[in-house]
Amino acid sequence: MTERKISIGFPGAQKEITVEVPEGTPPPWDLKSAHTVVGTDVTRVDGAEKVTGRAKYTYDLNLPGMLHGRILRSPHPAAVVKKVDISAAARMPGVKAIVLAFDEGQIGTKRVRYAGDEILALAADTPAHAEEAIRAVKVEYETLPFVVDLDEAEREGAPQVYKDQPNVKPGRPRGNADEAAKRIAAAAVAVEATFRTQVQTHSPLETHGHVIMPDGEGLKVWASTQGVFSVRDGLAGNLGLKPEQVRVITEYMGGGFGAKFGPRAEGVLCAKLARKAGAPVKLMLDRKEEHLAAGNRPNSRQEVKAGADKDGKLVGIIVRTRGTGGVGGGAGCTIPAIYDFPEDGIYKEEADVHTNAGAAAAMRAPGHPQGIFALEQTMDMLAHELGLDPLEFRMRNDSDPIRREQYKIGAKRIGWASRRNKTPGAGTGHLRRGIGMASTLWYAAGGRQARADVEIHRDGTVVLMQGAQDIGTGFKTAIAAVVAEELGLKPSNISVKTGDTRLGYGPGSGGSTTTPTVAPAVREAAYAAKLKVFEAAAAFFKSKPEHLRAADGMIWVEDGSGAGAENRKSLSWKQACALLPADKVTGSADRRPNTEGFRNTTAGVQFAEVEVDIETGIVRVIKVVAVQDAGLTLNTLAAKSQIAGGVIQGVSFALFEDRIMDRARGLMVNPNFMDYKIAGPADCPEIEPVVFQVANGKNSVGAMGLGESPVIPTPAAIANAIFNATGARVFELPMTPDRVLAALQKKGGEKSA
Amino acid sequence: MRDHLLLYVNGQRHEVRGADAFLTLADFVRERLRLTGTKIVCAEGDCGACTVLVGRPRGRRLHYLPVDSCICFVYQMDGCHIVTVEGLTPGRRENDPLHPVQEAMVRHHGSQCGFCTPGIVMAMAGAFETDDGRHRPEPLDADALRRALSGNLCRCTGYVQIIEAGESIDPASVPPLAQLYPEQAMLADLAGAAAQPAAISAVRGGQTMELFAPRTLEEAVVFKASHPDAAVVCGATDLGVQHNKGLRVPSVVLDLSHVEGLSDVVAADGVLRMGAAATWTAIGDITEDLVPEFHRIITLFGSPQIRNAGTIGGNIVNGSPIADSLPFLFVTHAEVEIAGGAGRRRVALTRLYRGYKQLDLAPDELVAEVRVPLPRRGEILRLYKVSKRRDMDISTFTAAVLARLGDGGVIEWMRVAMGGVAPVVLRLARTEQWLEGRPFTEETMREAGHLAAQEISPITDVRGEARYRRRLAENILVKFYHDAQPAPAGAVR
Repeated sequence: MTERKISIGFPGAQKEITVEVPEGTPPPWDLKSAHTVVGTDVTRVDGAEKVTGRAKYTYDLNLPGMLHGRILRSPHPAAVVKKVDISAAARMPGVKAIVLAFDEGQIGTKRVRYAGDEILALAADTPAHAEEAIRAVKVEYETLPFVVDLDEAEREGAPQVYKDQPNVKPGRPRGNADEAAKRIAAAAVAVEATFRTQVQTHSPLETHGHVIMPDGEGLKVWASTQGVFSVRDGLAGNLGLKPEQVRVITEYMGGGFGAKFGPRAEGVLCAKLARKAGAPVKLMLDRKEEHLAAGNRPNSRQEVKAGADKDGKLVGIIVRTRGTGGVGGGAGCTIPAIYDFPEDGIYKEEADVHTNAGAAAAMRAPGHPQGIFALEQTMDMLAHELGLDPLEFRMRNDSDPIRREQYKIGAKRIGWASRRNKTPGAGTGHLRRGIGMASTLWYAAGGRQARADVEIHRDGTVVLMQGAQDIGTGFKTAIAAVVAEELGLKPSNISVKTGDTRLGYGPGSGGSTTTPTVAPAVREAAYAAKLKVFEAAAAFFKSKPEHLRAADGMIWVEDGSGAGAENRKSLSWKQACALLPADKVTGSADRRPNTEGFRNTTAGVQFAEVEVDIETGIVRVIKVVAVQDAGLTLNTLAAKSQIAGGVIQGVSFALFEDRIMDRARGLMVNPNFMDYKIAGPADCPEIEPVVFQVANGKNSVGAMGLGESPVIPTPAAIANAIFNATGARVFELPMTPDRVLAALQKKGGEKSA
Repeated sequence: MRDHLLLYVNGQRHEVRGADAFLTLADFVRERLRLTGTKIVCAEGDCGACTVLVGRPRGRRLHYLPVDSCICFVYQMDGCHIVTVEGLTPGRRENDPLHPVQEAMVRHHGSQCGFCTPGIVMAMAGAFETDDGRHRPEPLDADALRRALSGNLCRCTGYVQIIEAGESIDPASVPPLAQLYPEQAMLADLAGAAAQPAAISAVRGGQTMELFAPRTLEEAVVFKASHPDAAVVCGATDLGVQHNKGLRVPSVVLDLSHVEGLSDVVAADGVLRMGAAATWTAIGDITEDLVPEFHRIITLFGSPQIRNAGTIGGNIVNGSPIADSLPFLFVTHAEVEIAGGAGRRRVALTRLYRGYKQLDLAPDELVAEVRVPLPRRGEILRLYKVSKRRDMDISTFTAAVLARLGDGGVIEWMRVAMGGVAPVVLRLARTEQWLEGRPFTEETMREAGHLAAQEISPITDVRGEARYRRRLAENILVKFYHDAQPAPAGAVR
């Protein structure tokens, strides 16, 4: 263990700290580190596979003798399954296996709780035969009263989704309601409003699905998942196997956004079909099933009261939220952690409300886009009441050093001073422009378990092995960049194996933790492997391993003279590897816990400009400036893509997406892409992603997660921009032309959705 | 008569017989040819992940256009060369260079999960194809790329780097498909087949299926008379969706896409004549200078993939109250020519509709042509489409206003049609009558808006509330007034 001084933070807010560096590990990268690969634009190591169509997704697999699985789902939002008759289906051509989604003994009492609930699955030799057989299954239902609407479900006497529990499940309140109310009542200005957000479906382009093959006693599984290890453990648990009997592979997967953890019902059914049929089974959900039964972001109704004193300092906030995650939970909204509310001025209570609709699943920054939509509009309303510039108001209430810097950058890039309407809605003509902003944060330092192995072969080949899957963010490329940096090579020189439970443990792609968790273990494994190459090369240089340096594909003795490899005795990477005593050497490392470092959270701000047609209510987002910190950003090209992707999902959530339920029939009316709209290229504003680099020194790499933070503030920034453009506030998502026009009509009137 | 289809996929010749002819093109390439780069994501033409390039013989060339392969059928591909993402670099080995579009997508990080990528690559490659089979003279700018990709969805990237990739491509580096494949040899082979009508019968899942693909309208009418229940198919953009949802799998198909002359579009003597099988792409091309306002709305109401397949005949016969073309055709007094067993007849388009998707069309009749008297000099035309998303979204509300102003700004006449406000597209006769002879002022138009709102009977559905549609009916006439004012210098519309 040696002690080492490092500089962390960012220029302008620099900090020197001392860290302990264990033997055989590299000192943390910091502000003084000179990188040649990380922090630059790195093209994807799997780019060519993707653009040529050669990348094989679970959906593309075709194994010899493979059967096709299909699930029969309840057409009723609430019912008891009285009878299931599979006799005709079993006789249909090509049918090889049928399994129930519940115990046979439950027939007669089994309750289905939403239209889309699983009844059974079957496998046949072709997709068409599976489809025909599904239609031949006869199920007798006794339909029950149901409720699909949040407000209706919480009413006294509403149909109960679960027989033995009320629909409303309150969470634990935080803070003291009386104290907060007292502070707000005494405030110089106070605002009160009710905000609503809609149910959003994840809508990954590849649906949920698996290909599962019996493999001796165990299973070999290809999964469209963001957690191979959770699929392994889930299948093992459900089928009475040991985890090591189940191998899960995910080389490519077509998006998840939080909905693809564990095998879920369809994975377990697929595995049971494969075992029963003794053959590989492919079971992919279709687009309708994906909307109905594969997870969603819960909706919300947020009642907010807040106040500020005459100096524009926040004094208190009361937030009461309710939302429905259908038959699932998790409808809480984020606690307002961004701004400096006095702790005893905060009161928050929330409740999950059950309805007869598909269960929620974690979706990209759960609770946050919803909560920030309410919080940031509340901030703007307070600023308006105080007669303060909304940005100035935030400066007075945000002590975060990173965001304080980001506000300046964003304001300059959007033209806050010159382009914003000083009086909201002051423009003329039927197209009105306006600017708004909102902030974001995320808890993104990683730190769960991970193990990485780096092999260096005598021919110079480098193989990085890490079991976690690349959900699409570019995880594979990011860790290749880390190895390349450490070994002085190019990312394309690194052969990366990921997405396989036979490799070292890695986390699920959730919580923006994959890269920050895995990258330090990867760097340390590469460092350990490199030392072995250095050991072999030290004799050649008549030096010690710790004096060698690898860069630009060369190895030489670092003497502090600053001279490059060309002017001294050096070995090429290949030459050095040829000196290895064995065919290959391996460096391995486990993730060590984070140390204190700079910060646990990342910060970001977004500024949006919109144009509103006051005759039709159509909102067009013109431009979004997104300033985002992600610690040490490993790949700036991927980071920009991640930021822009978050912004466009935010635009889509703000303006288009909405799971619409028919209250009378209890069915989703738009389970498709024709009526469930996600933003397309023409809806895409000019997006200016600004990568804000921060050295956090919490581990050897210091990368922070970036998946979630950029999606959080976009809807709120757009809503504030609409207000600036028109003087009308929209309290409900999505901000459709219809709602915008209605808001314009009651401008200045009641403040609720 | 031929009992098979002839087509090429990535330069490979295929004679397709039996039930395979009735597969969607996407299923055919994925399941039969194992070309899995093409993805099926939405199965209804909204996402473009299944985009392939279809080369159709046109004169002495194969003319390649992007199409959604999941909502068209193999039988429509008779006589065509289909290029999938695997076919963009024929004969490429591991370390050979990528196609310039692919290379740019890698360089600019145009993929995250990558599931949409093949479709995006194909739509972008299609945008570099030209009518004359040579290199595109100009690079594609961001607007052109957004239009070219308006039928593609990506859930991950935010499109920014995809657009940047497209902008970076030097068109001189993009090989036209005519240079990558032996065009003339394929054409000669395909032309032999094209002369004969194709008729295919097959049995699938216990159901008999029959296809007839005539070459002349007369053959088509004779077949329709003997098979009144036959599904008439041109672009199949609607049937394809219904097929995928299991809503409609017709046992008899009459495919009009190979009928000679039925796709022609010509303008002469102030009349635009469009064959029923004319695609929206062809109509968009001719109207760009002729009726720019109609052209503008055409570019909004579908993606390139949809416009390359969908036809005006399909739009008219489908008869949706929110069909995007109808308000324009209503205010211009378009007529349709109908061919049937008893000969031909012409009818005003407004008379064709009897109720929600109810047409005045006998079982043995086919729409052959649409004739549109073009707006004349001095007439003001404005078309409106309101939907959640800007492109590729089914309308909540549509409207067309055509007006002629007399001396002193008096309204000589004004024709107003609205869609999405009743079971059929409506001409607002009472409002029109009231407007006649009144001064063209904002006040007049506001008043007319109130009248219009009373003349319609909108409903609430997934695309909008009745209340909102009524408000739009009011506001759109005011908007027309503003739009009809000469733009001040330097104004941007």
